[in-house]
Amino acid sequence: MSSIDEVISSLSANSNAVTDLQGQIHGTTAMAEEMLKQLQEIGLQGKAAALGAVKDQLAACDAFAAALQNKLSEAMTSAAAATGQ
Amino acid sequence: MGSLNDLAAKIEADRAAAAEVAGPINSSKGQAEHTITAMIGLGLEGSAARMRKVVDEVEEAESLRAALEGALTKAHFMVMSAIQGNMGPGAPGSGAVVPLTRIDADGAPKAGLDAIPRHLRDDPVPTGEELSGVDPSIGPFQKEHENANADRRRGALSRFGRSAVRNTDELAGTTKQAAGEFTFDIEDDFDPWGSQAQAIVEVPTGQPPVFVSRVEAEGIKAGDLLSSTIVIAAFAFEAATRLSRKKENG
Repeated sequence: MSSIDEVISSLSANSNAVTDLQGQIHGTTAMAEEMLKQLQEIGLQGKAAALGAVKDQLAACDAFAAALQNKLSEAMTSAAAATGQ
Repeated sequence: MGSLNDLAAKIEADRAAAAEVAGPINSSKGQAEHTITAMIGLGLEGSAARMRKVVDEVEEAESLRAALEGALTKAHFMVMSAIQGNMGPGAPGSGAVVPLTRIDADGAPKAGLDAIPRHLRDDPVPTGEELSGVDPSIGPFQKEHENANADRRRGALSRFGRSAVRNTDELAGTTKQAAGEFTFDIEDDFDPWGSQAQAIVEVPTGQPPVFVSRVEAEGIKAGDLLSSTIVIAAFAFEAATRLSRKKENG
């Protein structure tokens, strides 16, 4: 079933892309955290609070990305199971 | 805020990357569907059913990706609003008409632009007396009465000392009044020789000039002296009785 193999390899490529995206989001979150620390040190409370909300939002993004990754793995497993028959 | 701008750019790049994944995921879905068609053509019904599950999961993955993209868009917006102050209606410079008094969901007026004075908006802040359980509306004599039995077990001397401390202000006031009736004040500019009198100071040659300044007492009254003495005496008395009690107790 070369067609199923193609589906699996396509899904695997997607999964790799999502992994890269997760890395990118992690980098962004780290940057936001560092800036949050700086803002708190300076004492800009309003900006720090706004950036704290941004950080939470980025954590939510990370959770979405992880869920997306899980879903793609599930799809790959299902496709591999379809090969068996 | 250069670095905040950098953060916004980074989040925007993340969002673009999330959007880019949409195409490959859709093409995966297309391939899976194509495979299903081929399987049905070959009569492989069981495999086709399993492949349908794959298609469903890829669709779920696509909706998750869309949610991720939306969340990143929101994060980008939040960073931009952190840079520029609050965006949207109500932000300074937005041009929106902001009502002075906002209404809660309950219908109670909420704090708008300080349209409602603070003492009407919030409950009054409790005073120290209210926090310590003493009714603030009662006067000092009633307070003394309320607390009258508190030191019943103390010795007579100690009780006298305590009540003296508690009523120090009244004691001092009474003393001031009583003493004021029997004393007289010396005038501030008391001058028995009259204002025309001149003092001549001779300065020996070769010596630096001598400056004479007159120190004047300003309004010291006998009543003040007596009443402050009473205050100090009351505290000293109480302190002494406490000290002696401490010695007795060991």
